[in-house]
Amino acid sequence: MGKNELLPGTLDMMVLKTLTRGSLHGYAIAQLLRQLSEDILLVEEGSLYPALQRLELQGWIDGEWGVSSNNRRARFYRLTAAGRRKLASETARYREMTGAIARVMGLA
Amino acid sequence: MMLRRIRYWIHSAARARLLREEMEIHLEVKIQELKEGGMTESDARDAARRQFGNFARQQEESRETWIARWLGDLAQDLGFAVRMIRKQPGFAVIASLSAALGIGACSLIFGLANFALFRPLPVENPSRLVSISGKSLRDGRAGMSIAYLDFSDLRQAQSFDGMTAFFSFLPATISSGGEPRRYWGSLVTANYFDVVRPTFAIGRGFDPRKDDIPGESPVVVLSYALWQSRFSADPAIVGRDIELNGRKVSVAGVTGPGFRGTEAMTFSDYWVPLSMVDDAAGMGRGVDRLHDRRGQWLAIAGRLRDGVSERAAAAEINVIGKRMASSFPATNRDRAFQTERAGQLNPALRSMIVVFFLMLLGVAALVLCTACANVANLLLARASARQKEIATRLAIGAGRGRLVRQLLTESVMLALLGGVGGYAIARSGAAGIGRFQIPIALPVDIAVSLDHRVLLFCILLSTATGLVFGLLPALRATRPDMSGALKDERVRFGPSRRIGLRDVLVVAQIGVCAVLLICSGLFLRSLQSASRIDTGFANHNLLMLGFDPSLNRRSEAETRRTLDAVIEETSALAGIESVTLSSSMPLDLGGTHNSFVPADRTTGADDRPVYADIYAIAPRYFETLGIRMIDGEDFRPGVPADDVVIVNQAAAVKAFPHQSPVGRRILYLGRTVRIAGLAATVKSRTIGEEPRPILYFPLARDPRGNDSLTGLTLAIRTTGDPAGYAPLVRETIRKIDPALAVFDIRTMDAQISRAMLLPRSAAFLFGLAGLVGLFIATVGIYGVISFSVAQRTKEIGIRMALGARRAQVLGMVLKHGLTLTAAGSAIGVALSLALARVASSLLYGVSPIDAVTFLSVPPVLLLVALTACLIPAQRAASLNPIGTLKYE
Repeated sequence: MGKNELLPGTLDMMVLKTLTRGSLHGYAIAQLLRQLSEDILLVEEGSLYPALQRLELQGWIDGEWGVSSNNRRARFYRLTAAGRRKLASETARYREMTGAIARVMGLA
Repeated sequence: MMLRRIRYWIHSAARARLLREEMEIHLEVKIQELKEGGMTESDARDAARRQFGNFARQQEESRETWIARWLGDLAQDLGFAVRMIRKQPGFAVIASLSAALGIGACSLIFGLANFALFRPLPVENPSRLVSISGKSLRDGRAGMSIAYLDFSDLRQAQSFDGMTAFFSFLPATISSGGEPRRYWGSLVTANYFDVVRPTFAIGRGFDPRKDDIPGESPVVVLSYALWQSRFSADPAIVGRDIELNGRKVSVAGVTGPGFRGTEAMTFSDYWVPLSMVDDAAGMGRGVDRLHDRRGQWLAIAGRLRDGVSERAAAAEINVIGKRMASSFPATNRDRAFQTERAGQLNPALRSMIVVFFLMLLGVAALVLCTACANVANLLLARASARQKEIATRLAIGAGRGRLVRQLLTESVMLALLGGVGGYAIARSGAAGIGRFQIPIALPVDIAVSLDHRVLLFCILLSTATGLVFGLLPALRATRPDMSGALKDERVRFGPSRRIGLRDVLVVAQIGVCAVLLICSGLFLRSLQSASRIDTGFANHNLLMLGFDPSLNRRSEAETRRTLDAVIEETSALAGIESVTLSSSMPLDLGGTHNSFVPADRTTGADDRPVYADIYAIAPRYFETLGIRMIDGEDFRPGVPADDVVIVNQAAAVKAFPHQSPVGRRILYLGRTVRIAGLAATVKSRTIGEEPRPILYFPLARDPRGNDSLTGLTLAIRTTGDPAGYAPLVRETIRKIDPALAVFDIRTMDAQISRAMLLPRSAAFLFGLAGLVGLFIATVGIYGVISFSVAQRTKEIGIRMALGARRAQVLGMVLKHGLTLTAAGSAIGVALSLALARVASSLLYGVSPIDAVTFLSVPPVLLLVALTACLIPAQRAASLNPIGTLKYE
């Protein structure tokens, strides 16, 4: 695992989290991830798309074509009810996990 | 989720295109933004691409989420299953062989039912062709023939595009293209082929404008099969004349392959139009066949007009039938008409056949169930052997669903292997049945072929079988609470108090096996008692040959001369004791059946008609067949002066209870007939029948054999082996009339063994099912016991170390096996007691709760089980206690 690469499975969770702000298109999600992580998490922007497909297949998000603010065609993704539940459970699990790691590392 | 995946998969091309577009837009926006931040076009492009990552790979990965993973898993599962099967080929062979037996049995039965009940006719739009038959309102009899005048009235119905009437048991001698032979065909109205619409190999059907008119030049349509076999597929046959019943008839066409008429199970080899009605033998003689409503002899098929439902057509037919009933009360008062899809079995026959097939299917399903239980048991045994492996995989995070799927793939694969074997079994079974001779002199077609539906059934059944026998073991094997499974073998004491799933399966197996064995026992006993049934005649040294003098349009005087010559010249042959002729022979199945009324019965005013089988016989019939004359006398040679009849005991008892019938009179077909003799009752149609009334008329008064469709039979009592006389007799007949076709040469012994078809085939089928069941159950019980011995190795070692003797260990293992068998047998016997009543109608002279059968099956099962348990028990008893404890 290279420097600053993501822990496996966390990308999906973070994508779900960004979508709690409303429906966004792929580019906006990438921008948001970069801004929120203050440029520390280096996500290949393209890897967002397999993640989006995965989430959509699971029924956690819904994609729909629309027009973006600068008048371009774009696919907007929206969190579904199932997605919201998934996010809650993932968040809880993540909290537990990082807490445990922190304790082991003697950080907490 | 599954559904969505399939939907994505179906639309994958469109989705991939849209995804690509989405990703390209992303890149463009990015480049735009970087340029706005001050980069050059090419720098911005490079930077954007760098940050985006590998475009193609990202796209590929996205697509994989909805296709490849799923397919990849499947491929992996299949590979795994193949590896497992190759690792244990013995197991795979036993499992798929068990499945093959069960699947084969079910597929064969389904194939037969499919053939008899569901096969569509090979005609244009077969679902729009309906058949119309008569139905008696008095006794509910269905599928009855219809008079020509009734047909003319029904033909007025508006619901049909066309309606045709036909008679499909028409024998004819064809003399062109080889030695004269009798064939079965149909007499049809000239519009027959326009209504039925089969394909034509060459030529055409009839001309409806003229071919219905009696006296028109005769034409014939040949079946593909006849054209191939007799005329070696001569392409120039259309327009040529062939000799049919001694008359030149022009061939109009040849139907396409497969078409053999519209009646299920009967077949026609040729069709002639109604203009040749006078050529048609028998059927309704004494009654004008075209102008009298009493002559009911036709079957009807109609093609529904476009947009008219079968139901609406039936309603219209019903209305016409009611109108006819009020206009012609003498003939039609109790008569209704019913319509149904053409090409189906006669409704009366159908319900019987459906019951028969359901019973067979039940047996086959039982065999399949034991086979499933067996394979499930083997899989369970293997699953416990693989417990550690599976527990390890679960522990390192394999999903349970994924593991179950993997195990199921394997069992479905085994079942499909079994399905392949099963289909082969069904095919050879069907071929065997096609070769079977049924004891009936009419054109009955049982050349069963398996079509795509049977193949589909086989595949579906195999898959279902695999899922059924695989599911429980798979769930069992992947149970998450596998505490201890990772540790090595546990020491378990005693046959675990809990009754194991495997034990339950074995008990069920033995139960089913007991049911099958009891059924086969019952049918074997029934066969035994059927072969002891007294037929009433002497069957040895009796030869029979069929011929039909009515087919060659000879005059009555000519026919009489021929018959006299045949009797005279065969009687003169050396080694022949006695010769006679009859319109039908005992156990012929087909034959004429009609009613008579006792004319001068003194007691009781009851003049209800008595139904009797009608025979027309030559003198010495009773002598030749060895039937006892009780009273009166046999017919003498020559034409009797008055109308006389000989009745059998059964007819006498019904018509004149407690009186001597000889000298009394009966009314038959409007004639008053004097009873000249009384004969003992013999079996007339089937071996298991109740005594049937019979009227024997003198053939001399009616040399055409009393409307017999199957012609006459020459019966000869010989001094030696009867079959050896056949060529000589045949040659004699040929010399008398070279145009006579001789058919159905058989001995009475063969006739009787053919008549035993039902008890014999039932005994054979159930016997086979019983043996297969026994084999499968033996394997099952052996598997369970040896597995339990293997599991309890350590326990047995400890016991022996503590002083248990060999005999005690042996007894312990045997007790386990015998307990299971006893429980299974008890269940089986109880089930059979409940089921046996259903079979009672198929049993001859055996009670459905026959004590011999019921008492002998459990000991047989126990004995077999004992043998099966002996090997593992001995293995257990000869264990070395030190060795078992040291292991580990």
